[in-house]
Amino acid sequence: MDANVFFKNVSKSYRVQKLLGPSKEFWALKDISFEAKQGETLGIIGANGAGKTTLLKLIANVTEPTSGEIEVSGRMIPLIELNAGFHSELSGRENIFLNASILGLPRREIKQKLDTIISFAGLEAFIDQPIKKYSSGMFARLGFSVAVHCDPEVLLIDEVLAVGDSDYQKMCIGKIKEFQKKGTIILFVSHSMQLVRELCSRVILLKKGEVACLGSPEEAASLYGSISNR
Amino acid sequence: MKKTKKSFFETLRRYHELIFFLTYREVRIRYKQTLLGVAWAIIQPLMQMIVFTFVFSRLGKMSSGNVPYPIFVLAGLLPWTFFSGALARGVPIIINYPNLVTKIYFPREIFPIFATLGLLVDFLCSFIVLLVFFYFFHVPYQIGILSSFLIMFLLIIFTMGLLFFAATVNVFFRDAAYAVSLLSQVWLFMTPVVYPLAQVPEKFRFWYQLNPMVGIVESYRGLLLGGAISHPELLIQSAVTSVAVFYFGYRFLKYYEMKFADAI
Repeated sequence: MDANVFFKNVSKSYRVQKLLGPSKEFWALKDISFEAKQGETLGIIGANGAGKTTLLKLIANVTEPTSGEIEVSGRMIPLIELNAGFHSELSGRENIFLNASILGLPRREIKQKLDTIISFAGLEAFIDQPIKKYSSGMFARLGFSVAVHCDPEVLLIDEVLAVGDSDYQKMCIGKIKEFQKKGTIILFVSHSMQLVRELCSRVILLKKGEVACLGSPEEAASLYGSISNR
Repeated sequence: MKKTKKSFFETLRRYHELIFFLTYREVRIRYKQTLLGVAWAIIQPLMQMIVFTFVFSRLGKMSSGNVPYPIFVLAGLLPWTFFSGALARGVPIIINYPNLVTKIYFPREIFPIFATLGLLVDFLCSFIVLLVFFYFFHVPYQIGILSSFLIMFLLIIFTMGLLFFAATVNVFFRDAAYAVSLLSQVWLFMTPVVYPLAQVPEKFRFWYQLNPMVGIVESYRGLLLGGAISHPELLIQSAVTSVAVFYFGYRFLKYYEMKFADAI
């Protein structure tokens, strides 16, 4: 079956408890509908608090929508925060096993891919050191390397390219383009309009939980520019 | 959303490797950057053994039958230390991993499971020390030592069940961790750990025995020291309670698990 991400009239509300008086409803997302098909890279942009993180949480199935329908098929790998599940006292090697198994990779496959993961991250010399001794760049490379070697069919990327130097960014972008050729669905959250233009085929612009624009990167980016300038 | 609700056993089968790695992580990080390492797992029950022996056996003249009191109390402290340690670690376990809860889904019952299993490693270490003590105190090694693991299995069921419940509550109300730590201090003395069950007056027995830890600790020590279970009816009662707590705790956690990411 093909990978697929499908949202139909999805809304998500949180209850905000006031100190006095009744709790208030806050709509983090309102009536979101879109579909991403195989090979598509969908950008998600918007100001802080526009609902980008909530949208990714819904795709990652860690929370449920208040109303509407969501369907995600295919092996979903979140590349959201690279250190989710990492522990600084454990070695790079131990963290690879831990993180890859959190992402759902069987141990047999982790063993097979171990050398590839390590060399892609360029950490051969440090792999048995506790990762608290790593620089933030090494840390980021390790997390990225584990995630991309889990063969994602749906890849969630949240601002992870902001960390690390330009070599790291180039490496990430190269890998993302490779995935695009393979047909992976990529959901790409970023504040960098340049990266969004370079990588995405379509873009959702969120504004206060609603879709302000769903269209080409140019269209969404220019609308985003005019909104945020106001 | 496609809700592929899996049964508990399917989860165990499908996620056993993840459970293994998370348990490994628990044990590794607990004793990382310590000089004594896993020896700390043994030191705690040993210290308690010394203190309780002094207070209850020397000062209080507590009788422990034909078994030396230090062995008597250590045999009770083993399952107890496992239980109270797992509660202390397990109640806040979900909120200790906010990144995992808010970024990626795997069945949330895995959190209490690996918290409990992590303490099992400590238990096994102190179990070996107990067997060494048997030698020095001339306590015979009996076949009951092996069957005691069945009681441990029951204790694991009970502990996990309780944690399914308490760890879930703790996601929404952090009071749970405080309440449980207070409770476990009281609970120790409501369980025949430092004294034998026979010391409990008949008129309190009915209420006293509602505590499932009574049957578990008493049977565990009975098997280890005498090779027999003195009150099989208590063990059956504990088994029924444990399975019920496990079942309802599990249902409770599954009912609320999709709200964890919003509350954390």
